[in-house]
Amino acid sequence: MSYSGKSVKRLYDDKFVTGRSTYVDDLKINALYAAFVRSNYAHAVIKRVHKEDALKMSGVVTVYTGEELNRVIKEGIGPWTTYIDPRPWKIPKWRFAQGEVKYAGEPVAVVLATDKYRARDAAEAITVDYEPVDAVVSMEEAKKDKVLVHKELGTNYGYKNDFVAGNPEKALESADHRKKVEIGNRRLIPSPMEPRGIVASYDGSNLSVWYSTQIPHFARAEFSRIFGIPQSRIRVVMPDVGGGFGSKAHIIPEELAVIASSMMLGKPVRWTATRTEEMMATNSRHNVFRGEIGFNNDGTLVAINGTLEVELGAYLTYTEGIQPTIIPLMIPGPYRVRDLKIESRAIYTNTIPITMYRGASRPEATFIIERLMSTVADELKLDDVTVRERNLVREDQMPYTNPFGLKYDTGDYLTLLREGVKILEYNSMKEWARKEREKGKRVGVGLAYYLEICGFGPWEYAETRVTEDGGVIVAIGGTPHGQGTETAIAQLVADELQVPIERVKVIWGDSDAIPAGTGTYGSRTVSIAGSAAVTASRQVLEKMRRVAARAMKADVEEIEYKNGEFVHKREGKKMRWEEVSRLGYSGKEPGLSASVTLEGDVTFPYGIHMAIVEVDEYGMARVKEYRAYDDIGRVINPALAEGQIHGGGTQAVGQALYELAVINENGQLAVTYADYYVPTAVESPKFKSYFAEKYHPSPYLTKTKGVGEAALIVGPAVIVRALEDATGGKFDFTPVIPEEILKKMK
Amino acid sequence: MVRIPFKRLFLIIKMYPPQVGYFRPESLGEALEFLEREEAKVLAGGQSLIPMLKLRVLRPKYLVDIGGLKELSYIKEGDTISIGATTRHFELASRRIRGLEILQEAASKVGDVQVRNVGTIGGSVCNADPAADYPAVLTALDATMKVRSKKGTREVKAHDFFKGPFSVDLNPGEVLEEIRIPRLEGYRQTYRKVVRRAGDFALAGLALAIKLDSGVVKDVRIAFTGVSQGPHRAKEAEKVLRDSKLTKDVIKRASEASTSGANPPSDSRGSSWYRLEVMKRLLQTSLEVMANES
Ligand SMILES: Cc1cc2nc3c(=O)[nH]c(=O)nc-3n(C[C@H](O)[C@H](O)[C@H](O)COP(=O)(O)OP(=O)(O)OC[C@H]3O[C@@H](n4cnc5c(N)ncnc54)[C@H](O)[C@@H]3O)c2cc1C
Repeated sequence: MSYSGKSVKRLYDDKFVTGRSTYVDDLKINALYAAFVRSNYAHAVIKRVHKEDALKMSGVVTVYTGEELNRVIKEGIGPWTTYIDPRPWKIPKWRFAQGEVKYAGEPVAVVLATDKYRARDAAEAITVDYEPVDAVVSMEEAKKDKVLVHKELGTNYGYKNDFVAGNPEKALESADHRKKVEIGNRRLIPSPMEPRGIVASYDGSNLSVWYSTQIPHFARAEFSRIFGIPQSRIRVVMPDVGGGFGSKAHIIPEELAVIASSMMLGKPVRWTATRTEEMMATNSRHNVFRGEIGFNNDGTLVAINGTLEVELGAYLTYTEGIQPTIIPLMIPGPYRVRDLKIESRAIYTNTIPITMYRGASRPEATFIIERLMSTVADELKLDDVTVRERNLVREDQMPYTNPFGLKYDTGDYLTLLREGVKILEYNSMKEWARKEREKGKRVGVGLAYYLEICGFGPWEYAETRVTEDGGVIVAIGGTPHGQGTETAIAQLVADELQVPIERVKVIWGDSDAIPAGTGTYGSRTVSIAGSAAVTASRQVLEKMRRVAARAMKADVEEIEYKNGEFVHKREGKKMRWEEVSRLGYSGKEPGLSASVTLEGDVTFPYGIHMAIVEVDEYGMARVKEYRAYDDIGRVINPALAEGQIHGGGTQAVGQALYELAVINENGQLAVTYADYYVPTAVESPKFKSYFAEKYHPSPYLTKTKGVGEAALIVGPAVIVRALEDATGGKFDFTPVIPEEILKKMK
Repeated sequence: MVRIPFKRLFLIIKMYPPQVGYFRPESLGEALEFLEREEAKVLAGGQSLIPMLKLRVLRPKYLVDIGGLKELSYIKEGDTISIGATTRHFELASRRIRGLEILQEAASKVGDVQVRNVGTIGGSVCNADPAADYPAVLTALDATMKVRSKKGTREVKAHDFFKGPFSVDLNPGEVLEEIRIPRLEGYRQTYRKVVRRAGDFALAGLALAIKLDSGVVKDVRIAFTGVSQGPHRAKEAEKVLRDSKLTKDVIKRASEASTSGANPPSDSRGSSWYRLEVMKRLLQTSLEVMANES
């Protein structure tokens, strides 16, 4: 019996497909509703908030501004110190707006009312006297440091660090060719189907929070720090979560206001973002790389020298510090280039704060390095595959330490490239596209390669419990929110314990039920939470062997476990799994559970993806097909893994061609879902996804690497390359919008 | 006179929109009666009105829901085609009307399935979104709007009905009852629409009807949507085409002329420059197809 490696159907999908899932907003609880008054100004002094009319309205309990809320919100929102070293950063204190607003959309007051309609009516009845001050809403302006977002910082630069390896100046000088480049991703908006939502209930001593989040345990720690309540008295529950993509791993002032209100009123308070509010709760990407590269006649890239600018928005969110610190490290990618200088800069502007988004820094880095590879190919009139062949780290160099010190664990990049070109039919599709173009069609084929860092530690928690009746409950610190990882983990545990998968239940997302945890992000859950679950299961099995041994009056070593039976090797006596389970709770044994916090580190999957793009006479591009060939280590559930390629690939279509969060000259978000184009099924390509059969394992017990972000990491570069093939133009910024395409078509 | 049963009057819908009274009349007469007396807005399919309420850009005191009135949902064929105001997009999209094939094509390109199932032609026309699909068709085909109020009935030509973005020739108390479109037999007709993404409003759309006799253009109607304050009738292009053959050169000149008088907006769907390019290409492609077919 083996479940791993098979496309076992997702275990808990019935409720989702039949509309019986429970999101935060579905929870029935006698709570007050919060509604927010928001600033239309990007930067202004708050002179006065007129609450009187609102307070007179029926059903309105109270109205709070920063003056009241910040008495409870003691500390500010800060960076995720597990992954971000705060020391080199300039960080403004970020609590609920008090005295000044720093971006259009920032909440300035919260209304609490008995229902959400009254709350909203009352929010509209509140007027605020502002005194607008100079705002800086673009990175270019902010860089001048003329208008400051935060006076107290003395600069708009939140972070400046130069990542230097080798001697890029010298390498540039001795290179056969030099070329100036400018590459970037414009601002976009992650779009989970379920908007953010929170219910907070403070009863005078304990705080319970039901929260649409990817990181309940980190949230508990942050709430503890911010409100000064010990973690043991905070419970954070993550009900069903309708998508996160990294955008549900940070905390916003609205959520702090909900908790603070509950603490001040001693009553449950709730808030669910409207779609407009959701669009303002998280913006992502926006980074530009400007610099110069050096390369030789044979196509080898020998130097990268430039500046990376990453926009922060008005405040440093929990997750945005990751980008300027990890993008540079990953710019070398799977290639041998060793002379680099990346001046990394993070810049505050009076705009909606920016957070990580699926791939978090790896899509940015991959877009840069893959654009560079394609640039070398174009300059030297070499094929995309040839250029990559000449630059990839070779197998005999593995494990390879990249110029910034990252250690690539396992892989054979060159072989995968060659296999991928065959499996994806790159050469024949290229030829087909060329012929189609001769007939007047605008079709193109493009590929790109990626190396991903994922599986991030530092650790993960898991507990395996065998219940009295022989059931298995696996509690994980990972927090699946749509990926279906729970099914893969059930497969691993069922295999480890040699029990039917129906016996295994996986639970997560409640900080009281799962004492510790980190969460689901960075394509890590199967590897780190899966390995922790396997470890805990092994330990439980060991306990069961001991129970069986005592019952059969044998030494533990004499007991062998196989397929649900504990066998006395010498005497041939047997005990069934159920009997041992029952005995585990007889009063004589300590019960059957084991928990671990398993240490883990990064691992490096890689792959090659290809797209076929067609452009019409108006410059509208469609991705017709998307093909992927990846070495993600061992594949536990191929269907789940493929699903990740489909989802990430569709978001890659969005980032490459559609999704642009327009901020107007007043710093306001100027799009709604009527003109912020999240791709629909119609814009989604046909997918073909393959995984390397001869995979390269990670050091994790599961031998898995990760696949959750792969297609969004490499997809934008793939699609842009296909677009170039189709049109003959050159595009270095995402999204590439139709009129830019049309201009290049002429 | 129709008496309004007050027991049906004060159902209050409360969603995120502001508080609003809801009235569901049993006949057009009842609706007109109510509209005469109260500060109310007609609700048909709600596909434009409800979002506006949710965004709180409108705050009427009452909604008068005519969406369920059977007497306003019909397609009557004669020399003129008469379409009741609450006829659903879906019904128009599933019916091929001889001499008015373009309407089916346009209706099938409105929004997505959900929108087409609920939204009405009257609602679309009265809403007059500058990127909506029907207004261009009705302008190209010189349709007539039959408008009714308690005081009586009047008729307005499409050209005069569409006054600007979200603005039509309707007075308080008036309801659009019917749309009348002359049958254009022997015309080739096409409605083409350029969108960024499936189900969206047009970046630009083209309604084209053309009558050819031995390759010579006898009559032609061209109107665009999405490129001006309202539907843009491309009279200059029509002039170029009339009495000419659809040669490469004529098509090119007509396409260039089509932008004359258009003043496309620049917004997140596309810049003004881009829209002008799209207009020209739309007309050019459409005419080329027709030239090849003849
Ligand atoms: C997602 C989405 C996509 C869409 N895409 C498109 C598209 O591609 N192309 C397009 O053309 N439209 C599109 N629409 C708009 C759609 O066509 C609407 O159905 C239409 O605009 C309004 O029709 P309705 O029956 O829903 O009217 P309602 O929303 O009920 O009313 C609209 C307005 O018209 C008034 N009104 C309605 N009927 C009458 C009447 N008989 N007399 C007087 N006033 C009246 C109302 O008072 C209101 O002001 C889209 C809408 C959505 C939600």
